[in-house]
Amino acid sequence: MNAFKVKRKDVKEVSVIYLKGYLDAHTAHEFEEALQELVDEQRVRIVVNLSELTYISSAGLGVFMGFIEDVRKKKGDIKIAEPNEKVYRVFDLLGFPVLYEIFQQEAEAIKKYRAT
Amino acid sequence: MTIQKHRVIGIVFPLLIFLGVIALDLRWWPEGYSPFAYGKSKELLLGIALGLLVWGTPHLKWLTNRTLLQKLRLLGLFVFVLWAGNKLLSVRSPSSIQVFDDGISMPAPVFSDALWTVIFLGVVIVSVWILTILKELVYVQQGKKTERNYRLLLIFIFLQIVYVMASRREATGTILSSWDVRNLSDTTSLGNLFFFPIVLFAFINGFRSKWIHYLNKSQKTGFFFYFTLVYSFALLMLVKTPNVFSTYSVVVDSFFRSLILFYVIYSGVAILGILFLLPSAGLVDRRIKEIQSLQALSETIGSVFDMKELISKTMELSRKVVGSDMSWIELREDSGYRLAGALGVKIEDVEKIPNSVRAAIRKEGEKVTGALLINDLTKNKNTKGIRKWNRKAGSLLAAQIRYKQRELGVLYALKHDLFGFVEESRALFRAFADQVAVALENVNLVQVTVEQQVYREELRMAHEAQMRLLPREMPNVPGVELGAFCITANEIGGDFYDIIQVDNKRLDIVIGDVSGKGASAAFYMAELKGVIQALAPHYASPKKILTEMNGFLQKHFEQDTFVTLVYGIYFPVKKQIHLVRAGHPPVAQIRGKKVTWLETDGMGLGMASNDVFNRSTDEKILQLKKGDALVFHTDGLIEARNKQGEEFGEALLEETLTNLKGEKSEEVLNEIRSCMENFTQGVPRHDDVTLVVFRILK
Repeated sequence: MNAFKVKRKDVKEVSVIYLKGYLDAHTAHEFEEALQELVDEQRVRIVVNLSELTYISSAGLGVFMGFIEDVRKKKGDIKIAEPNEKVYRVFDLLGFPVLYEIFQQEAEAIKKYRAT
Repeated sequence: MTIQKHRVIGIVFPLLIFLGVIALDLRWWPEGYSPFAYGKSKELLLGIALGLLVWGTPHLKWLTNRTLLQKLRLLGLFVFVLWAGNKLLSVRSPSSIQVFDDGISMPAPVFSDALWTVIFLGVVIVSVWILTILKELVYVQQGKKTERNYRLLLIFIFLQIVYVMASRREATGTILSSWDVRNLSDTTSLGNLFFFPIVLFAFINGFRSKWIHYLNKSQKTGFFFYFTLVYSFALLMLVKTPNVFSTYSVVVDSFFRSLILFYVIYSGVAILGILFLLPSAGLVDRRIKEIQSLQALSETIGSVFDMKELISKTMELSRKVVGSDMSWIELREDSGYRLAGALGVKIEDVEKIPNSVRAAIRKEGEKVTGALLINDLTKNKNTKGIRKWNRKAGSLLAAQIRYKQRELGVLYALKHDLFGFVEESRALFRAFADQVAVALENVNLVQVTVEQQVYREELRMAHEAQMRLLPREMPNVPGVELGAFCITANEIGGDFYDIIQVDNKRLDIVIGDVSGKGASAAFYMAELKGVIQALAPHYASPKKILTEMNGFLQKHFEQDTFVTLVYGIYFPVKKQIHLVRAGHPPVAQIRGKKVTWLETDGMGLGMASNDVFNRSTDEKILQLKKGDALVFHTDGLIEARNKQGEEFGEALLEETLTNLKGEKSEEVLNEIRSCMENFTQGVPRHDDVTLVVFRILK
């Protein structure tokens, strides 16, 4: 089993989730649980920081897809920050940039929330 | 030697000898003188008969194939019968007496009286039975010397018989008119030189009474009184034995006396032994029951795989092990404890104990090694109020069920009495709880294994379904060559491809990848294939088809499921292919040695509304010419890993395609495949790998 860790940090009304390691079908549920926790707490302004994420599979992508509609209905969003080249390529091929705002810096993502 | 032979030689034969001797005696009776009646030959015959009987009776199954209790009861009965028989023989006077010249009087041949004969034979046989049972008792849990010591006893008995026989006086005489008899021999069985070895070995064998340990307390008590009663009869026979046999046969007489002596010594020692063990008998019984409960639990561990059954057995056994009036078990679940079973009390009643009290008991238990013992529940600060719930709650035992540092639950045993549990019960309850832990773990493992097998079976079926959805053979389209392979991973990956010939003016090539988990991906694939087949004939534009599909997916698939796809419609007349890349890895176009990636804009299906999909997805029209090849792949190829954890990657794929040696589709497929296998070097795939190669021939 490849290592995977999820961390959370709350910055005022924004919650940042840090994904580290390998996100695939085996570890996707941890990411899912973290997002569910946030949604349960009505914390829908979410930034997912991928600076330490080395790999993402379709299962991991599915987690994003599973929450985005609900979060947006609640007037929130899931913004993506600091993906590495490989991970960004996966997003790009799939068409994620059309659906999600992807930032090179976490701070930019948080700022974007303030702007709205 | 067979049982039959044993019976014949050891029982029937001696009996025949006895009868023969009696018959011979009878023969000379009318003559008033019998050279045989008191001769050594008769004694010899009787001695041999006795010896055979002693040897053969242990093979008598009806006697030896009995339980210990039955044997003990029979022993007492036989001794009593012996005494009764003896009494009968001595009381019943023979019809006449024969006396001889030298003044020594002899009884008339006793056999003239048929009844006397029968009783005589019966007494001899029962004596041998008694000896046999005593032998069985001596041999219980035999040690190294048991056999030797017993045989020595027998040897001394028979040596004495020989001695007595040898020193028997010859006699002649006439018939007297009264029943006045004296011993034939000066050397009575008691008091001769073999007396002491016999007594010695009788004592040595007397201490071999291990069978006492197999009796429980009530049986010990019962047999104590039983054998004491029988003992009085045996003593009477020993001390006041009438000279019933000695006048008839010194051999039989000697044997008889030795036997009674042996019995008296053995029985005396055994009775004392029982007496000494009586006080601790209760404790011993309890210990045995505890160990039996633990043994029963061990067996249960190995054979019960149903949780409910295990819980119910555990409750039964916990009552036996510590003698509790009530017992119940809590199982750990997530962050709480669930009451899983109870005995001697209803679960609903146990639930009435406030959670705080139960939690407090658990906490107290954590501080103790071994089991927690609360001798007086009313005085313990945590459980004071327990009487409100059940007036009969006196003392409590609680043990954590722990398996390898992991807590599985808690076992409780409650007694009505205060101080109802002894201190040793703690260690016992702890041992019991440890066994329960192993049993629980086993049941869980079995459940997990079963679930895993069910899951594997599901995957296998889904895999088969997946394989069936792929085209069985490539359609024959003039001017075009197609080849494909799909290597599945162990887990369902969701890859598929399809080649659809709507009509002879077009050829549809589809390659796709369903996201999502496990077996459901295969079912989605089936749906998709159906949808594609249904839509294809209606649209000549892949974008239109995919937009419809997007709508379908949005409506019918799970939110977290999406599909990536490349859809190409080839028109052979114009040699044009219309391509749409819906979030899928790009198609490679190979022209000569040049590789171009057709990376058009596009997004996966089922991710956004049709509007968004439409806006973000482009349809590209590509003009192809002879010799061109298109290679479609799924991300399983790119993400294939080697031992170092490196990915195959797009760069290596490009390199492979640039340096292709073969031209035909099959050759291209094989080259790519072997390149991948060379890279991964046996590392198992974690995703399906699909490749389609499409070549223009002319």
